[in-house]
Amino acid sequence: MPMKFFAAGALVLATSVASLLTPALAADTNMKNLDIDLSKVTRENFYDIVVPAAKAEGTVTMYNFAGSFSDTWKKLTDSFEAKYGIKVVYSDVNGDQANQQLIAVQAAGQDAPVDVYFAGGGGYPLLSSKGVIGKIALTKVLPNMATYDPVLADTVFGRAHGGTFPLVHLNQTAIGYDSAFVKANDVPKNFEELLAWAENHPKRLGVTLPAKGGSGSGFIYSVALNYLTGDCRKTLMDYSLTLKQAEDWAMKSECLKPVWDYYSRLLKVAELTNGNADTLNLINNRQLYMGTVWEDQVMTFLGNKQLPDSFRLTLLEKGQVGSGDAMFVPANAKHVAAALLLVDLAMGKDFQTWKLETKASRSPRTDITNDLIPAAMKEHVLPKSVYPRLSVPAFWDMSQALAEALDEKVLNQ
Amino acid sequence: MSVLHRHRSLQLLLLLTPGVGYLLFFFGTPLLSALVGSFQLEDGTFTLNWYQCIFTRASTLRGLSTSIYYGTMPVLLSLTLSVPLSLLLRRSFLGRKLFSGLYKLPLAVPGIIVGLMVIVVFERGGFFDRLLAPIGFTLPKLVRDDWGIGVILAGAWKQVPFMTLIITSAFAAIPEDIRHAARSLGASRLKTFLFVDIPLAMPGITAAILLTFIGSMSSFAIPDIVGPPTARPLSVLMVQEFKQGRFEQVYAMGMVLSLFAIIVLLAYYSLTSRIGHDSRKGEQS
Repeated sequence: MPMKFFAAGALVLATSVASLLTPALAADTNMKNLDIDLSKVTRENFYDIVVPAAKAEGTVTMYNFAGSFSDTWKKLTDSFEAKYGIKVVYSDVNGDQANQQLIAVQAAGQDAPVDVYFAGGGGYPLLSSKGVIGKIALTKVLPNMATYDPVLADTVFGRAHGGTFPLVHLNQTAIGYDSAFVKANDVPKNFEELLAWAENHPKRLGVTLPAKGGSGSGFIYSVALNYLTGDCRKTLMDYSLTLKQAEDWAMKSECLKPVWDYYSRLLKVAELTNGNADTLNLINNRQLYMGTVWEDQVMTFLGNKQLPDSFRLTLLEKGQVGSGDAMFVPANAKHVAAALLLVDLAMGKDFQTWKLETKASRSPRTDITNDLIPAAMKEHVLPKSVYPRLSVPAFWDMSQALAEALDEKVLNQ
Repeated sequence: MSVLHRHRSLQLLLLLTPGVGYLLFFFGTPLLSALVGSFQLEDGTFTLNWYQCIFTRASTLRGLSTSIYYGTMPVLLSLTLSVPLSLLLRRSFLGRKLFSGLYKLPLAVPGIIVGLMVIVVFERGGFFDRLLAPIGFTLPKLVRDDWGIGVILAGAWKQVPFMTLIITSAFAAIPEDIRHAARSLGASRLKTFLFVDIPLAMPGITAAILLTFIGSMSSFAIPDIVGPPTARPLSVLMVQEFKQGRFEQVYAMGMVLSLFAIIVLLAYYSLTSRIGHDSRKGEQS
């Protein structure tokens, strides 16, 4: 009897260990064109199995939805081709159109035109609901994802993805200011202080219209997170809500009154701008001293001398929205092994560090922090005192719902 | 062939087929498809929801009035500039040939470039502002201003050459003898212009007004870049909805904009036919 129990226990243990070792790839996958046995791939044997298969495929196609990342991916694809001798066919695409293309291809059961897609992080609900995303738990098997943020490894903006939709680039909304005009002691630390500063400096704070720029829609969600409590806050952070449900709630709920009141006061003294770049342009023209910004876009503008060197960033207490964009392998991709290898290289420490240094593109790798970047650059990125402590995950559907409600409740009243 | 000769209507139909068929297929089909789409939910069931949204939401109602405003104001401004310009171009002066070529340049500049030009040159703290700062002048707010003055000026800058071209042709088509006759009968230059030139050129002027109105009302780039973020015309709101994948709402907005364009078109036909009728009556009497 004890032997029977021992044998049964050993079987359960063996099964558990096996499932831990091959957690992702052993699971039933929706990949259409597999030329490797995914169930045998682990972090340890990844290169032994995947590299020969990828070389046999000989080519990999990549889509990039973010125009500002073309040069970044050029560096990646060049080093990929040099390292593995596998040709990369690269295309910049419009994210909305590419999403629709992949959905249509998936529905028709055809091969996907792309093997690796760098897509907006907010696209996960749509793409996963249409079965476009390949069920390969990338965060569990790619060697360069061994130090991946454990929360992001399984979820993206509150939704479980099981490692199939890993963010490879994180970006952060922030408050940017020109330190030539804003003294260190006057830098707002929370939303109330920001409003007070704006009232003391009329038309010197730029707020991006939420409908026209992520720094604005991130800001409105951050304002809501700051003011809402209890059940209202629970609904605000309920990632299971669909866009339609979020829109209905934002349009009708009394919970958001403090947010509309805040905006009503703020927009009397702040400049509402037509987009992220519009806000930065006005700061560069020295018409605004402070504004809602994206950290990585600030770095790009600084690099092009489109912002003064005295420009600095901060985050407000209770947190501001952080977002990110993902790389995934479509279910109908033709060159799966080469795709895995390319995503792995994109998460390499060298590349992720270079990306942080040159673009303030934050990494989901926990071993990449401000400490790795040169001292001169540190003053142009968010300081360690606020990032990642005050970074809160985005909920873009809710942000959009709030932006639409702002149009009706405040801007057009 | 003899059948065709006998049936004139059939002959006409065949002759018209290439032109009308092209219009029906490439213009009518998308329009019809959009019209049908604007009355459908995602599952294909009939709804008036998309139109209800347009006429009940504060943002879209304001978008509609802003579209009409951005359609009308640049036309009025362009007209006040184009008519004198057309008269000037009728005269002979030094450098006329060069001027005739140069004034058409804005026609070749895309709307988005005009918008970006305004941002770079006329934005507060921009090129002109910095140029004027040493002598103590500052530019008025032309970008994101509440009245959309920047949008109107930029739109007019782009529309003036087009309008001038049409109006110049309309004036050129008036025989000089008629003017001379009016002058010989004692009419002053101003009276000749007001009571001879303008009425005779009216079909051309109204055509210019119509075309520039439709162009201005549906323009996207300039109001999107230069206009105030609060009052966005329907064209800008349409692109916003398109990005969210709400195609049915886009169709409905497009239909409302098209309806306004058609109303203006009908008004144009009514006006020009009345002018034609009046002028024929004048000829008979």
